[in-house]
Amino acid sequence: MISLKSVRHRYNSFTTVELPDINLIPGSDLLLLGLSGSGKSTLIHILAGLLKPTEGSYTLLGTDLYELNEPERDQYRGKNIGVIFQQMHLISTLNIFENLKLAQYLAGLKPNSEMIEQLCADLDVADKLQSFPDELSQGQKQRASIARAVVNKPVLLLADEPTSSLDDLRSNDVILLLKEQAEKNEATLIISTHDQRVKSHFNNIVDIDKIQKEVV
Amino acid sequence: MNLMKLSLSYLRRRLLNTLLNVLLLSMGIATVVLLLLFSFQLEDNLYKNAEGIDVVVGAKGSPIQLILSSIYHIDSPTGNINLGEAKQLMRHPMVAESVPLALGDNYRGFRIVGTTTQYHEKYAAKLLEGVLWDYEFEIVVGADVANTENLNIGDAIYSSHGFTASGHTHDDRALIVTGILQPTSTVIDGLILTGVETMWGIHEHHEHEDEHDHEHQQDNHHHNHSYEHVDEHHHNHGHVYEYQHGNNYHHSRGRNITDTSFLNDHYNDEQITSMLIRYSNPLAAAQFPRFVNENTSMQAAAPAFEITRLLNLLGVGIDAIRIFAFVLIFASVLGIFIALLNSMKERKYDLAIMRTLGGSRFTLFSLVIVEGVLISLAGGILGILFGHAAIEIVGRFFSEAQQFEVTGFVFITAEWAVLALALIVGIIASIIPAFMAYKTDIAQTLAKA
Repeated sequence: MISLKSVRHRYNSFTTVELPDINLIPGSDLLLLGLSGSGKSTLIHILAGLLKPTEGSYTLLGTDLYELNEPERDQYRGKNIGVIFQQMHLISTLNIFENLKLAQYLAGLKPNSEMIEQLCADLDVADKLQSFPDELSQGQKQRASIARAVVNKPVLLLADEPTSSLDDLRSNDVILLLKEQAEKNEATLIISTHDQRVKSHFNNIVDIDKIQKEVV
Repeated sequence: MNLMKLSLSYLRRRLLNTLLNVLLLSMGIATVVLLLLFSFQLEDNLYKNAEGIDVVVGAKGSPIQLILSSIYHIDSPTGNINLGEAKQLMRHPMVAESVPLALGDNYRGFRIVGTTTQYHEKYAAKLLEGVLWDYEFEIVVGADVANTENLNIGDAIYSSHGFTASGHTHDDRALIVTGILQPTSTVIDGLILTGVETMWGIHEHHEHEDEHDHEHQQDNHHHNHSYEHVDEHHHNHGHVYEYQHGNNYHHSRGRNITDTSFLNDHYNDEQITSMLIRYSNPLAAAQFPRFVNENTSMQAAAPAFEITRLLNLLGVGIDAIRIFAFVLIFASVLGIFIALLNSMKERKYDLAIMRTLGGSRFTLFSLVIVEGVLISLAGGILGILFGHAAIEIVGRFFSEAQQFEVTGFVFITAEWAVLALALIVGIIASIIPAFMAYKTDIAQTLAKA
């Protein structure tokens, strides 16, 4: 069960973001729809365990993430949550293979080269393992960053605006790819977007613009 | 994948900057190592060569000069002392052992020392081949002399007056090599040893040429003294040859020499350069030098005291170079610091991503520290190698002029401290950037992406 309950986050005395309650069963998916500035990123960051909300609770498979201390939460995130950002943020000084190994290392998991090779073959970047991020096309970078997000077999896969800079066809491909990878890992998939094109792929849609109120 | 590899990947990314910082630090470290090795070897040499010498007695003048000339064979002597007067000190109850030194000649820059066999025994120098001198004009050469000049037993050399190879050559009086010493790593390796009488003999003969008549009279005068029979025999024959009516056999021999023969009273008017004295009891250190300085025309200088004084004088120069070294090291701290600080700005997103992937604040902190330490350890190790190379080069360039051997192939424990210093440099330079990495606000950083 993934559950977010009465969460509010106050950035400063003027800006408070109120977020919807979310209840998801493992393996399901959810689309967070909203305009920029609506609090989608705040929600993704809270769900990823990157931002402790001012109020409310967040439970992932029985673990109250913000009850953990920070290093424990870092480890938990590394092992259980995969995050894909709009900017791919691959480490530019490491090649793709090393980028994936870094994900295993930072999560405190044993290095597993076979899994990396398998995954990259699956995502069609197997021939780019020894390449550096600068040498990859935008699409290849995106697939590599998806590989990095799922390499530790997360239970929750988060994607923040994964399609915003893509054309219709590519946008569709990426959503399908994410759904496919989430299914393979039996992970829950949560995508935040302002991109109305992807709506058709999801049963659960939360329109943040309607729920969230900015208190000024 | 680990922190080391990750750090290295960032260092490779700004390779030029990394190499420049490594080089800058290595120069500072090399200077520190150079100073350490130089002072260590200098002190080691100074004390090693003065071992077993409590005091040096010689002509009045600069005590440091007396020590330098009589123990280390560097400077010119302060002058000569009268043997008769010196002998009185040798019999002083506080004197356990006194070794006479008669200096003034060289062979191609290697000093010839008229002394007794106690001298090389002091330095535990053993014969490599041949025998010690038994007669005037027989010499035993140190290991370096034998090697450099390719001298063998039976070779004849001609000494020059003074302490540089350019002096007047006594080309009519051959000195015969009868023995070669084993290397000792002391000053003795670069010396030519012979009996005290040989030094007198060389100059006696020299004077013959200039003032033949006068010297002839002196010889007669000597002759009238009561010699021991054997001595007289050789002495006579030596002179017979000098007057060009003897045979060659006696030419190569001269007078018979023992460790005590120079003490014969008929030499009382001769001169020696100095005496190396060992006390019979430690209390003498307080009384004997004062006794000599106040009651005789000679001076007494204690090596231990003069070495300390000399090292203090050198210390000023060493301190100046040390300050320079620390300026270099400080510059490299700044260099590493600025490089890391700049790379923190470029790497903000990388750091946020690493946190997202499960890295803790401490992981990021360590990553930056490892980077600083890798630079500083590379600089430290390179600096130590540079320092050794530099002192080896210095040693080779000056080995001919100096009696001291300096080598780059000696490692001292203090170098671990230097490596630790390099390590500290790395940590100091990286601690602020590391703390910035530690403080990175992930959500805020990612939101700005």
